[in-house]
Amino acid sequence: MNILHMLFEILIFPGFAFVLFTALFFHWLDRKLIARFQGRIGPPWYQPVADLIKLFSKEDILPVGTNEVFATLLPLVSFAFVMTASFYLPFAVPTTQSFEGDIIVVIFLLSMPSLLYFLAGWITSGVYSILGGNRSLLQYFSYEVLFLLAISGTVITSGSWSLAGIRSAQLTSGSYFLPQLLGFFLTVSGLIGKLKRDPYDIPKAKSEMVAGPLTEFSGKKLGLWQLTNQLQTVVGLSFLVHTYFGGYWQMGTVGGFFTFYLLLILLQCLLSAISAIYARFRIDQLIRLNWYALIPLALIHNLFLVLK
Amino acid sequence: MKLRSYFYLLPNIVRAFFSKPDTVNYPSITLEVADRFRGSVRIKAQNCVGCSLCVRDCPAQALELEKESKNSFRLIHYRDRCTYCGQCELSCRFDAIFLDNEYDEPSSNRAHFIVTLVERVPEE
Repeated sequence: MNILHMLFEILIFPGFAFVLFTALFFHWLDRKLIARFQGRIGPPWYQPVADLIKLFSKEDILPVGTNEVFATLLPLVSFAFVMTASFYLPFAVPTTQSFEGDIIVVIFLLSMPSLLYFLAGWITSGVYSILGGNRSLLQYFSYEVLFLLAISGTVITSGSWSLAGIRSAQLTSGSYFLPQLLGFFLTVSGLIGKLKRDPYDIPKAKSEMVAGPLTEFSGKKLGLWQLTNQLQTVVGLSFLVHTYFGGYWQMGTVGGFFTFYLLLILLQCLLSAISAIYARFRIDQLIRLNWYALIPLALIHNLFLVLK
Repeated sequence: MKLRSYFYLLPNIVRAFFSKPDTVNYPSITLEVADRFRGSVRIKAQNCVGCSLCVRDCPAQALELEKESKNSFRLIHYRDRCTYCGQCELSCRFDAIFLDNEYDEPSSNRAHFIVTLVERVPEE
């Protein structure tokens, strides 16, 4: 009975199936919101599922000179990394035991897909892929530092390196969203870089280099890459909810779950609005913005929190 | 101000979000087209005299006149060649040929694209 219950939690709710469903739903929400912001109607609700079915039933082609084992393994491993990260960020029902330092594990699990994304460009023989891979690595060095510095603001205030510790610290002191508004927006900026959304979509700039590192991928592998990206969006957003809106935990299981989902939807609205408003940065603009403005700002913010 | 340039699109997206979309759900909703839209080629058969001005002026050679005598002719429109430029409407001196607001039906059979606009046989 206990094993059955555990299997249900891991495979169906709030585990694998539910997280996948949420990822597809949020992908639809994102596309619909951006369409409405641009005055279009947007896709119907089943569009992400239809896209996925189409990609998974298509022929799988790789160019000559590509390591087929690596090309198959990369999207799978990347998917596994994001899925594992999702187990540390439960939807109101705690599934895995939180331990001291699990926030570092989650940050690691969330940053690995970016490196695998670079490798995906590197192993294929196309010019666009290699260029896109290089660009993704260049971008990685600017947003990842910002993300780490900005998220450590919550760690400094709560005095704990575990997600449960950060959540429970917010139960007593109130959520960190308003007191650390600057830190929150810096984290969102880093997260946008992680998700490669506009205006940080330099590696997969559609008008310049087709699809960046994923240009040569097709069929199931491309479907898995896209699913990974959609999953990463949800996991990244729930990471934000856990670190900046931790107080939802006190509303009980059902109330907490709905508050959590509502917060996720609001954050997705924020990301979609940012995507609709801003155009893509040039690579030098992005690096200058991050290293000259946002990272010093995050450092000052953290210094201020330490002194306080 | 430079800061303002970061947010000047924000009111636009809010307005777009709360107003009616500019696009329509096309296959299930018929598209409203402008009055001057150049749709399918039609003819008022009683006005046509078989002068072949439209045939001569058609840049795509989409019209063909099979003339046997003054009172016996047939005007054929090849829809697959037509560019819907409206030159035939401009050339016609008898207000016979014109372009209306409807679409031509798509088809995978080429025979469907050959339309006889006027068929006049002499009265016995």
